[in-house]
Amino acid sequence: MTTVEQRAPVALAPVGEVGRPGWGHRPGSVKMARRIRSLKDHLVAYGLLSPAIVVFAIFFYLPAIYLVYISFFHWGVLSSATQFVGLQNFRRLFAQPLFWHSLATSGYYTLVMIPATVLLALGIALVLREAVTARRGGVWRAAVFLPHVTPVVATSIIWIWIFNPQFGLANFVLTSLHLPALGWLDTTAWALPAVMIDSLWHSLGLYVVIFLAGLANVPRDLVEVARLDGARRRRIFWRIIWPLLSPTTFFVVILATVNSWQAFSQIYTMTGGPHGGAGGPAFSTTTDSLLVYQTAFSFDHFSLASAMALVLFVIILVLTLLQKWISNKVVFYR
Amino acid sequence: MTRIELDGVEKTFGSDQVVAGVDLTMPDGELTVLLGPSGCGKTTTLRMIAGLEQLSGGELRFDGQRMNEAPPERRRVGMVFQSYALYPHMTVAANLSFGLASRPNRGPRRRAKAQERARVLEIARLLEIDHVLDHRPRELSGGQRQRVALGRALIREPDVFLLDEPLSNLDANLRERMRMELARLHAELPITTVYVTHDQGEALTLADQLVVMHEGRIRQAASPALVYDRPADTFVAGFLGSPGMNLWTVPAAGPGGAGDRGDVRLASELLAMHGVGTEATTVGIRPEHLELVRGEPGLAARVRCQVRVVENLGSHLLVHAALASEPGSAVVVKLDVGSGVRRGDRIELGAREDHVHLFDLETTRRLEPAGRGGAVVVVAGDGAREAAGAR
Repeated sequence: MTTVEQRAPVALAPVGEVGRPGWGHRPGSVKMARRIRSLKDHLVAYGLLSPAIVVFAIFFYLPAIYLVYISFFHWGVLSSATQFVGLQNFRRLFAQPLFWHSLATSGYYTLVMIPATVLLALGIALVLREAVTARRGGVWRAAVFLPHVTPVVATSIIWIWIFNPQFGLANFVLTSLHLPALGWLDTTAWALPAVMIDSLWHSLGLYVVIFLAGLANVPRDLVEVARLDGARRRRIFWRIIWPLLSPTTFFVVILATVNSWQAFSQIYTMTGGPHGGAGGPAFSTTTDSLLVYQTAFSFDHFSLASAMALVLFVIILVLTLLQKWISNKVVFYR
Repeated sequence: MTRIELDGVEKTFGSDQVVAGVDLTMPDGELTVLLGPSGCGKTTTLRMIAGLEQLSGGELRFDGQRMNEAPPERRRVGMVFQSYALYPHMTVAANLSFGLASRPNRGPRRRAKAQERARVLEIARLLEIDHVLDHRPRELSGGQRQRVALGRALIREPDVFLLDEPLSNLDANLRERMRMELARLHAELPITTVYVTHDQGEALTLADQLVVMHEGRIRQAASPALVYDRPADTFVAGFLGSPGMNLWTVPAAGPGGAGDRGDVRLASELLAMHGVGTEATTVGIRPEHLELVRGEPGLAARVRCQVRVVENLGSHLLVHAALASEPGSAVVVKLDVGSGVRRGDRIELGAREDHVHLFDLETTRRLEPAGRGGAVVVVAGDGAREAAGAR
């Protein structure tokens, strides 16, 4: 006890209490000093964090909370009256065929994008794995990652030209392979696949880099010992690499799911413009997130759009939880 | 049953020559230990035998057949990695049977599976891991992991068994026990085995043939006893033994005749036998071969020194001293606990003729006494063999 009391004035020095008479001899004062000190530390920490907290609060948390709030009201940017309507927005939403259609479109988009993303990104990563260890490997990695750095809107405009039915590159490739030319963005069947190709091109780089990191984490000696065990390439991949890569694959699947449900810019850019309102032709590319935007900003139904966004949030949350639940059974964490 | 031959084997990584012309024969069924400090090329040599590294030069033969281009899965090699490299997502049983199930022609599936299960159980019993077959590697102790790694390498009855520092991740007690078990295993299953280690205790106890490597070259390849008793050069002499051999560079002969080398006095018959005249040379004597001189005549070497530190190791004293006229030099000697040597004492040590080694000052190679039978000793340099006794 005596040592603690003797040390107290030293501990207090930064708070500026050293000179106070009798201060160092009261046991309670030590506790107090510690508390002040820890409070000071916390204040400093929160002070340093505050710019980030403020930005996050203003641009993420407050709008999100406000979105939940207005989904239960009748609310518009231009209308001043705010009126509580309970679940009416949701009832209207579920009665709207276009909403269900947009969910189906988003589901279709996501269901194609996830396997395509995993297959292509993993395939490219496997090929690149050999290349990146060679000389100038970094050039390859950069080349694959580059599309992801470009602005979606700008590159989507280029993809509009590629998918131009008359003089686009896509149809040129198809016809030179003696395949029939397609109407792409002008047809209900091929407009969404065209958007998918653009999205894949744009997003793959990120996933390839994630898979490359995952592959680098598979210990080399496991692959070597499997070779000595007599296993061929295919068996090594499916029995060794694939299970050990499962946490990475799971991460990619989650990311791809969220990104697919939220896909917006490329759809808005590619199906809008000269083609009239985005989401066409005949709503074939109207995904959930696009419908949210249009409902809010084209038709000024903010509260309806908020309700829609809330449903979208719940869907993504449920999907992610479902994936998490499945992952506990199939993903191997070391 | 396979005889492994390395013929001028080289390996370069970029501009780095890691293995520089290794000639070596590993006889059928024998255990060859590759010993050396880290970076000496021993693991790379092992990986080339396994097929995990391509040879940059030379030829590798199994039973006379060139293997340079054979992929690892075709070499019938079992290997234990330093890290054990167990498949972390599989049970012990699955780890063991993975190699069996990888065979191209397994035959009817159900029968193959039943046979594989029986074989897994057999090898698990041999290694005493049959009670952990359902466990994952992370649930096992270090020693059990080690056994699983051994079992996985042995289960396919390989022609060649390769071990890369297999005991280095175990604690001291377990290491000694596993070392004994490896010796037992090798006696029961006489497979041609190559064992890489930097631990000379393992090397000396396990090896049929001991190969000392340094800077990508073989410094000596012979039986452990021969390597210990007649080291091929000063590197091998200093590397082997604990502590290693005392090595002193003695100046040219003084006024007292050919044997007068300052604090070290050598018998002139010894010098003559080794073909050494009055020129400077390197003398080597192991710490356990030096004894306190109490006027005995006929000792081939005598050393005058001053004691700096005395370590009492219970069974003996380890005395660190320096040559009397050269305070920077080192003399290490093992003496009886009762010898009463203290720090600061000036003592005289002596050694018998067959315990005194002479080395050429320039080439660092051993000078073999005339008239002693010569065993084949491989020495560094151009990779050539020479009969050391021919000198």
